[in-house]
Amino acid sequence: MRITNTTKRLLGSLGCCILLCLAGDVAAQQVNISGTVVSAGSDQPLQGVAFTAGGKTVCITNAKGVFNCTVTDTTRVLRVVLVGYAPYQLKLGSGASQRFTIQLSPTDRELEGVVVSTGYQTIPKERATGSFEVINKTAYNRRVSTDVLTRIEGLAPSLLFDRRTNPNSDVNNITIRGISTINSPKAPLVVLDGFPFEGDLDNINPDDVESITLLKDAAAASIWGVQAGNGVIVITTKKGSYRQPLRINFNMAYTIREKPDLMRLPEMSSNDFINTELFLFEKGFYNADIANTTNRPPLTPVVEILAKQRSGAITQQEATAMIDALRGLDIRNDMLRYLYRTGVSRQLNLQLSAGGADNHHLVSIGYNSDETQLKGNAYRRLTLRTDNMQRLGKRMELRYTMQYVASLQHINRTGWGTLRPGSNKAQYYPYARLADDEGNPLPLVRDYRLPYIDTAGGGRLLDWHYKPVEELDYLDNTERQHDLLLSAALKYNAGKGLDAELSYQYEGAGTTLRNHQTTELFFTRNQINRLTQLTPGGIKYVIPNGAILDRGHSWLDAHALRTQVNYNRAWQHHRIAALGGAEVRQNATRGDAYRIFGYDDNTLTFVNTDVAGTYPVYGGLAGMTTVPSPTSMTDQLYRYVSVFMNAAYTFANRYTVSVSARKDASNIFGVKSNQKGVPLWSAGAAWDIAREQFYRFEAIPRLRLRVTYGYSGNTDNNRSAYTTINFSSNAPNTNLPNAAVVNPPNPSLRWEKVNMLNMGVDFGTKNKRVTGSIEYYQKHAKDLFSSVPIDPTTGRGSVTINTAELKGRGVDITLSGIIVRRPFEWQSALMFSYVRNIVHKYYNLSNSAASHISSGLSINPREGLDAFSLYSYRWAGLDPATGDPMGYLNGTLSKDYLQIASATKPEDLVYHGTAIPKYYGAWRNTVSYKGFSIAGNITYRLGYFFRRSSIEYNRLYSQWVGHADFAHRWMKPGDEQYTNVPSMPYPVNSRRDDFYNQSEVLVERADNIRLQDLSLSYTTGKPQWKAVPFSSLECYVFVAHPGLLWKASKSTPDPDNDGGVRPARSVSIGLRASL
Amino acid sequence: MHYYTRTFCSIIALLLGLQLLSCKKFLDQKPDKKLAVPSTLADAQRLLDGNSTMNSFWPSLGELVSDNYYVPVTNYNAASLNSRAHYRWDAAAETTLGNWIYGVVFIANVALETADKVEVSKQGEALYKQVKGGALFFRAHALYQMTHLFTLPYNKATAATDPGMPLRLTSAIDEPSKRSSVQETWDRILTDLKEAAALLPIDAGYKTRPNKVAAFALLASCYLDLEDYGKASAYADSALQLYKPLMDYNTLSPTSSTPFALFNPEVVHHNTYSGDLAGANNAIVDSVLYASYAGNDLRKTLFYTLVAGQPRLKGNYAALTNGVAFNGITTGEIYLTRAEGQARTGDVTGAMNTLNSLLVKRWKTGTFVPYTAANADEALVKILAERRKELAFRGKRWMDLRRLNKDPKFAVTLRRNIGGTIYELPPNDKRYALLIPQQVIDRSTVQQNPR
Repeated sequence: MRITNTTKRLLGSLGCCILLCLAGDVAAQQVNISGTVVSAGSDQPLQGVAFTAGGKTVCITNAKGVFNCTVTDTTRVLRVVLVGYAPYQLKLGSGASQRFTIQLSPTDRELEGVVVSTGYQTIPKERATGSFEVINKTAYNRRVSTDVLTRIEGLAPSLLFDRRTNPNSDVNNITIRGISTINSPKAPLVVLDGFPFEGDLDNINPDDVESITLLKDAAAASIWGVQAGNGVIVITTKKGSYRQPLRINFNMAYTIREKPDLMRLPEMSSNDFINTELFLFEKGFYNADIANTTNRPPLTPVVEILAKQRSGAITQQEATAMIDALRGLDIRNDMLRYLYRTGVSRQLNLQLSAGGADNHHLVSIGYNSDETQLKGNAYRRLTLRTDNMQRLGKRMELRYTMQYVASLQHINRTGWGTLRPGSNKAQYYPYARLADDEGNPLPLVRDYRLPYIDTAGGGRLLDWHYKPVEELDYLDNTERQHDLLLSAALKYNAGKGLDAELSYQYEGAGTTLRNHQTTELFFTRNQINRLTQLTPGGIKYVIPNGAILDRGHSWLDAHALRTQVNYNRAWQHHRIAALGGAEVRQNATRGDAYRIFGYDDNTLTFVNTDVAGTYPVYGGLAGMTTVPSPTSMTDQLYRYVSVFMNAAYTFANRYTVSVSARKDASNIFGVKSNQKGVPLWSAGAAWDIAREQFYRFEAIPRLRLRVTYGYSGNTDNNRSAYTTINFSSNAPNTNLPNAAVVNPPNPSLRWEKVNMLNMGVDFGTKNKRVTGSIEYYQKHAKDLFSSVPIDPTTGRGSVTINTAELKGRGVDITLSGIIVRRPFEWQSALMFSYVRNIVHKYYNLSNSAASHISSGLSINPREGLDAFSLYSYRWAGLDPATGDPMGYLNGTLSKDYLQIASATKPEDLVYHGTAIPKYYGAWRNTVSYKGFSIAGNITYRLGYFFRRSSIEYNRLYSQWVGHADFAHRWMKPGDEQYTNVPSMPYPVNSRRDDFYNQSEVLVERADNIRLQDLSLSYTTGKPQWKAVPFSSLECYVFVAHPGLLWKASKSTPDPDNDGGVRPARSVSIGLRASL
Repeated sequence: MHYYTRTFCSIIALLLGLQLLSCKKFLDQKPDKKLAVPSTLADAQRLLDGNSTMNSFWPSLGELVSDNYYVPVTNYNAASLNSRAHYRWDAAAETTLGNWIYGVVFIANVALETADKVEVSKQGEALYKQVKGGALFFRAHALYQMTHLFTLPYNKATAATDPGMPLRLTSAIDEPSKRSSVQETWDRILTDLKEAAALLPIDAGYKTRPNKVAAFALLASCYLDLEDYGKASAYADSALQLYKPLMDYNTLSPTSSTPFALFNPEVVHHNTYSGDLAGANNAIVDSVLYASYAGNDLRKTLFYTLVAGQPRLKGNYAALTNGVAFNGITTGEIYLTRAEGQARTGDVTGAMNTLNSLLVKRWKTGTFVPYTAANADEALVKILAERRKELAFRGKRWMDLRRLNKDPKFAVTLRRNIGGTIYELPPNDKRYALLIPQQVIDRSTVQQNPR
């Protein structure tokens, strides 16, 4: 039913789009308009002000601010724009000749790559020495997403998203110019409207964002001091402007997202899995588990059938028939049918802004509703934001803002990768069935054998079966968030370019978790049954027979106070832009979590339960145990005090020098050197060659060189110079409060420092047909924390000390241009990044090869090589006689996997290269004709490798984890010529599995090119279509993740999601209107 | 207007000044209430109360390489590579780091250093003694356990030169480790235990906290290893003077899967190990051992259960069924140590009395006929046989094998039959000192045991 509704809505919206598109131009009369444009406040005439109608420039003011031109009388409104000023809507009256005097209000917020924001100031990019990257606003707005981060992927060079370890949109997946640390947090700092954002990034409504700037080098970022080592993402929200008539913006989008493509996962077939089980049963592999009448470990249906046959309960024919009936099943079909649906999300956003002479206001309301592909999961978010500016007299301005976010998330987690059995099993056997042919939910084996569960307690226990499909309706697990952000900033203009600012921000964010687990859920029944005591006289429930309620609360209180003095002055050939200030910040996070038993949601009653005493587990399934009761408390407080300054001096508009410095101190625990503070600084210079007298190269009228050098830092709140201990409650059995050592003593602890040299050239051809920049940088991160394995006799396996160094270098190139001009226009932007991160110094005593072999997704430090380097054992093929994998030991063929793992020297391993892209970027194209526009973003990642997943027999036997490669395994002599998949061994040898899975034969190039998104839009408005009340109306269709265009590897459907589910494709349709 | 200006500028100046001045105090606040630099006796006690490190999952290796059990070949094949190698006493069998319990030594040292820094008030004296005595006991107990795995059995003639355990007496991690001699190792264990015994209370309130009885009992066990039987007997006696309850096994349920309660009255010090192949899920009790329990011996039905005709492990003093078992100190063990000490020093009557007072609690009521012995040798044979039965699967067998092998009368060659292949471990073999974990060898100058 849902699908039909969806389709109807889609068709309806498409129809609207088509109707709108049919509106055309009408022939018209000429009207002359003229007048002057001055700056509001100073009444200075403004040169270069453009008057545009429907995107076309019709007029430009001269040096005296005068304009004079003709337009057709169908033009009702002209847009008056100048960089650095708020755009103005000029409404035309009637009459063949009209005169106007227009005042434009200065603003620092105008975008299009011209003004950059550091969070402390906004500066014109042409006077900046540092490396800034402004996210293209059009491309940002074209995307449809609930969060901000998803929208910036592939929109700037140097910015890399790697979702391989965490598929969500998470700031931890982002790197800017590679990594700057090894063991500290790697996420860049996110700044929202001038202050570090402490809350949940999902709480920023992407429609509220005016601009996003990336701070990439030391000169740009060092103003953020010890938090800037990983780069900074500065988000500025929208606000109104003075003397602006009421403007209403409306945006609406409807998105459908396909079910995950589980069928492309390299899973083992049920037939192969069953044959493996028959083989293992024959070998007696399951004998211990079948005979285990203590713990009753879970067994698959096939093994149960075989056990029954062996005990004589059924005949061989019956057993074979029962098993054969399972061979064609695939749990993924059931999952897609019963656990997944087509995801649907809706977004609405309404924005109103207006401004008078002394104040301006903006109100924005957003609503998001996501029903994800996993049934039962949902997310709803309401955002409300107001931004107000009030002039207090001539020299004082007060800005006050409020942002409130309320969200509700339903958490379900029954899907691929999360639906898993108990015990040590990692996933379900492939022939598991979630429901029968009529759709009735079926039980799955979980912690204990099914035949045991069937009869345990003789009907006096609660039903001990696990039926995941049935449970879907009873899941009641929610997370609610309330996030309030208040800020006020008072700015006083003392004249002569001097102003002072006092700003304060408060953020209070509360999260409430509530998991109401009724006895309809296996979890609850299992908890109760395990501790139920059956006596001839009755049933004693240690855990009351009722729902279990888990609750959790956490509250963030963050205060930030900043005082800042700015000095901006230009006289004759000189120009100074300087700022200095100090700030204090405090973030407190408090939380608690607890569990209530025997809960009745209708009456809010519950039953007190003994969580301290030990009780026997039913049937001796386990030893004496206590009632599990996760109760916890957190109370954390981080404080920072900082002073900072930044100054730039420009001479003759050609030479700029800049310096920046910052000193931070914090209460990070037990670090003496912290409290003394860490001074970090940077310096830079820029030379505008194109403005030199001698510069005659007319084809490139814009040419500018920049160079910067300096330091930023990185903190890790978990380090300490002293032996620190961590308290916890309820030691097992004794319930005593207890403690464990977190850090052994480390008197030489310091903060990490990142040093960066950046050189750049900005250029532009005539008429800005092609503009671009090329930057080269060198990075040297010093005093990095590195986990050093130490002599275990010390009592610690490793210590974290400041020993490591990383050296990085790279190139960022941006080229954008207009390939074909109007009326048919083709704009193109190409981004290219090259990054190398080389481990320069790392203290690693381990000389064993095994410790260097990894997936490459975690840092694999070996001096002189890439931080994410991928190594493998040399592969010598399969043994033609047995199908065993073969490697080399001291240069000779060997199957001694133990010796290969322990005696191979790291230098004897095969080094493939880095596991993260060396070259990456995007190519964005926009083709537009009249109101139509088609845009697409192609992203590419090159020069890296990945280790393909394959069969691990050890995990297959004992954890039910198969792999499609099983079908290609070596089975008879001669097969070694066609396959590299080893034969099925018995008994299993985990070292053999490890050797094969860590050998070079599974490493492939990960290079790929993909179409990131595609969008189609049609824009119209009053100038073209008088009947509509909108100054601009845009209908759009947006497709996210359409797919791969090219990949180097032949063996995996997607090298960036090998063995996992690739990002789901989605289609959005939407409408954007301005009034 | 001027008013605004002045006020505003003053506020800014004030705030700037305040920020810089109050910086120190403002930053003195702890970032996380759960974190602390250990500085009080309470902190040190909490470290020692972290029983998941201090009393749990201690080395399983001793039981794994002992002869109390065997496993079906299918279980053997399903086991990890290291467990399999140890099971057949492979000379190259790698030892996992879990058996190198210097983490306990480190915590004990941190607690000791904390206790030594604190000024002890009158009220705090009891806590100070508990902390210091407890830390010394834990350090000695960890060393005692590891000594039995990684050094050769004590031999007076060569003890001064035989490589012992590295002795770490401070928490400083930059101090290099080197092996002491076997003599130095035992000396350290004895010194720590004697000091602990002087400090600890008779009852520490919790069975996971060391007490005086446990210190005496462990001293007695040490002197068995050192073949100083007079002292062994004396310390066991001191322990029993303070605490000697025995449970009457007739009061326990033979049908329960966990017949013994956790922290039952016989437990003097609680400690557990993870059984691996020797755990309840894999092990089949050695048939000779199982047969040695008499029909009326209640331990036969409380310790074991027959599954498909084969004796499997059931009850243990950790009250667990998942393969984790008890290897702490019990009153039963102290009785046996005293009896052995008495027998070996010629007190045959005393020895048999001690033994009988234990056994009467183990047999079905009214069926036990007290054991007698004509001479010390006969008494010793009986006591050692009972010792094996009482302390089976408590991590003691390996320790006893090591010391008893020195006497040809009690020396045994261990044998495993794995799918028809026989593996042997003769008495006093070099393999009685197991290999030190490779990570230790890689990262320190500690010498590996010879093969």
